[in-house]
Amino acid sequence: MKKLRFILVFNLLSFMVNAQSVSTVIDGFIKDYQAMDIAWMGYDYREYFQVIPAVAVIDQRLDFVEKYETKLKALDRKKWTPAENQRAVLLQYYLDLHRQRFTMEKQFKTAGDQEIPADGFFKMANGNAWYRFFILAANGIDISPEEIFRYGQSEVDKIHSKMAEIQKRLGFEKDSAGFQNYLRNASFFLTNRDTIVARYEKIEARVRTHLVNMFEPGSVKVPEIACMTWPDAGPYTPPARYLSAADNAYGKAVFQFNFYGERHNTRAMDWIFMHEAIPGHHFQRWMINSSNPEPLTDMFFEGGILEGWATYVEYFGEEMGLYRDDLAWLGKWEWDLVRSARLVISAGIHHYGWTKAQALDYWKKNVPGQDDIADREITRCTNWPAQVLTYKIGAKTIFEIRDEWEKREGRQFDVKKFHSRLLTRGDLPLAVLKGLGVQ
Amino acid sequence: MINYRIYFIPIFLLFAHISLSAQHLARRAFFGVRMENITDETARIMNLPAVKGVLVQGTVPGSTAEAAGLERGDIWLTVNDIAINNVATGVETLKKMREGDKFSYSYQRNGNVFTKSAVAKPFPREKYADIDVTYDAVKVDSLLLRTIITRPKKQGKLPAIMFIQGVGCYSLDTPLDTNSSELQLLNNLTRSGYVTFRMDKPGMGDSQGGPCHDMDFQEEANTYLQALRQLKQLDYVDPDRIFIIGHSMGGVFAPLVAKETPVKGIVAYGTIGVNFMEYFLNSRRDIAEANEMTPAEADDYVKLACECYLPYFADGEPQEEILAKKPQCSEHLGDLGRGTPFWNQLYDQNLPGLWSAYNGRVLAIHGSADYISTREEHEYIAATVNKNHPGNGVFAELDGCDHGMHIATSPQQANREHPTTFNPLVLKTIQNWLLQNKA
Repeated sequence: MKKLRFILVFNLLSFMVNAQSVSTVIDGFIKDYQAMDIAWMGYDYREYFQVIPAVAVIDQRLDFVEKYETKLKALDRKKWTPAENQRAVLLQYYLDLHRQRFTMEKQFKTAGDQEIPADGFFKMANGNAWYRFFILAANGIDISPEEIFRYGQSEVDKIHSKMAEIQKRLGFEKDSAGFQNYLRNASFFLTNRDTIVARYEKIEARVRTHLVNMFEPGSVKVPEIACMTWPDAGPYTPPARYLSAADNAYGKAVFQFNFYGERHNTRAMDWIFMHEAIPGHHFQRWMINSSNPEPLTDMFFEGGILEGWATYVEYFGEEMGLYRDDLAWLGKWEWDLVRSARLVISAGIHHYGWTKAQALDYWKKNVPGQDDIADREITRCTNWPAQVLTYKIGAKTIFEIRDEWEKREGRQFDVKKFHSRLLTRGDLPLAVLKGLGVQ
Repeated sequence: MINYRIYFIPIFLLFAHISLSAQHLARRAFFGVRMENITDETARIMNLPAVKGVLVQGTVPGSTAEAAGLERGDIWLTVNDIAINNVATGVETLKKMREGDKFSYSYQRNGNVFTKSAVAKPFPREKYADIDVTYDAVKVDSLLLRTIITRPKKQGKLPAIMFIQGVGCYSLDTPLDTNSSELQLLNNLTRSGYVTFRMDKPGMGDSQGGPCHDMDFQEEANTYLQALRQLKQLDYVDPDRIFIIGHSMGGVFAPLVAKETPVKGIVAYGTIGVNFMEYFLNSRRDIAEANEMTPAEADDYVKLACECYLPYFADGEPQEEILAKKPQCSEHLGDLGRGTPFWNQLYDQNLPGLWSAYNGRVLAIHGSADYISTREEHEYIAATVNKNHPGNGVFAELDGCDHGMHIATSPQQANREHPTTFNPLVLKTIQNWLLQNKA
């Protein structure tokens, strides 16, 4: 009996020491990382290459990665709890990512003075590897440019057929010019700010009453979100944005819509609200904050899960009591088409060496009615090679994780629980989420 | 018909002498508050009783605002009993404060109003490990104007560069933004062995006087002349190896100043090389194209701009009279950043005459994404210099640079996105040219 008690106490102590070790390594990593003042890679690849430090500094950073790899390897994995294991997987992901980054940065610096082409990675020395690394860093998952290109094309084709069905139902079969003309009709644009706010409030009320269709009952407690115009919006400002309470001075979360030129597109209102507010960014932020998030996730920006989630929920307009007519669906497909075309154009420019003229030609042939933003979008795909992918790649990966979960659970699969577990993991890299299987 | 004006006679001599000793000029206050206008929408979502004050978005660490206890979300109401009801008033009021000034202020937090007093902290200074920075002043007439000198850690007489900024009223004293093109260019030139010298216009930064907006062309030219004379007399500057970098309008002032006090060479970036009206005509079309107008729209735009501006620039006709005759000019005329005397005096300059008389070295640089100035005029400057002094003039077209010396892919992208990353190609081009000219 005495011996048994000793074993129990020993095991407990051993667990505590081990648990402390995982967290000590992560705490040390966070502290040292902050002290090293390592800049976030940012979106613009040309700006990134400007701030790569000297080789001596990169060497220190490589030593830092090695130090924590050694510390992590030295821990006794056999006794880890599932939670500890997940923390270690996440740390290992960031160590791998940074080792790759610093190794490539060192190669770049030691190669001597290099011109950074303004028209993409294609012409740059080692450009293909850099593009792929940017995809990984921005999306949190490694996907080849060929796959991005193919997926983008297939999404563009799929959306074309969805839009063609709607065009036909609205009486414009084989009359695309007439259809585009119809879509420019003034009746699709609200011009009174208060009317827009009131309409968004109605959308919010509908969504709140339908949340339980896709989320667990506690989801209805998601706090209020204020709706207002985007101050100083210009002709190239995106349709809307979300500012969490921590990111603004209003004291509450805010959803701002573009009212430039004193007009707002009614077709886009359903998907915009879902993406920016509920169950998109606002709901996601609330779920993450309510779940004691992993401190490592505060260190890095994971565009893949953040934008991916907000794009994923756009597909559930009907479940949320929205998309009640063809026009609301059309609004969703119109912007989904823009995001899908970005995949083709980004891979086209950075991997296949497309010129701007080729990209423009692709846009004009495939994205009807959006000529006014063509140049902006192509520039964005050129300058921000991988950020433009996060929406579609993120949503695609979430659907894949969900499918895996569903296959494994069979009839036991509960989409509401899946959503809760996905979101309460925090904004993890997609590759880590996929590997963990949302257990 | 050309309008010859009597004030074309240089009036440099009319101004008072300069003081060569170091001048004490008090540092401006470092208030360090980010503000946002309060609108009816802000008042609605924050449940404010009135549209009054400005919203504090945040304070800068180490600033007066932080020490005064202002926090994000506060409604800042007054300074020294002056009501602050918009950001412009706030900025204007704070601009007048100097280090050590005592002031009272009031703000609203959680529905309660607080009134307090504090002492203004000085604006931070630039500080680098590898170069020295001196804050001095030049006395022009009765005003002290801030000069900032960066100096390599080297002994002996060094080559020097005086930087003359563009037409706008903005400060070059930006220790909180050392990534600006101007500072990136000048500090890196210092790292390669050059003393650099810049001055803030009257009313800007710490400089006394102003408003800068109302200073005429000749008055401004005189400030640069006095500053150049002071630079020449610094004991660590080689007076025979002084260069001027004139950015934008600074490239117009450069040969004018050099006519009075010779310098070894001039770099003119993004400037004007011909009669002002001719420049205006050339650049309007580029501006129209950068704004993505159709060729027909661009032509209408250029035609109307010329019809509206010619009487204003050439004859000094008041804008009200032009508008009375041509109401459609309302879309063009308005505040041009500087007063009518400035533009009228600029109109009277004979720039090709100045360049052909100049016997030093000249590098005329145009960026491919610069739509404010034209390539042809820079080619013309180099050709004009070479006509009288063969081999002295060099033209350089820099790929991927905008008017502000930033990285930009096209004039359209520069116009749309206002890039902020300095293009190191500008630095390299100037460094190489200085070396070739044995600076």
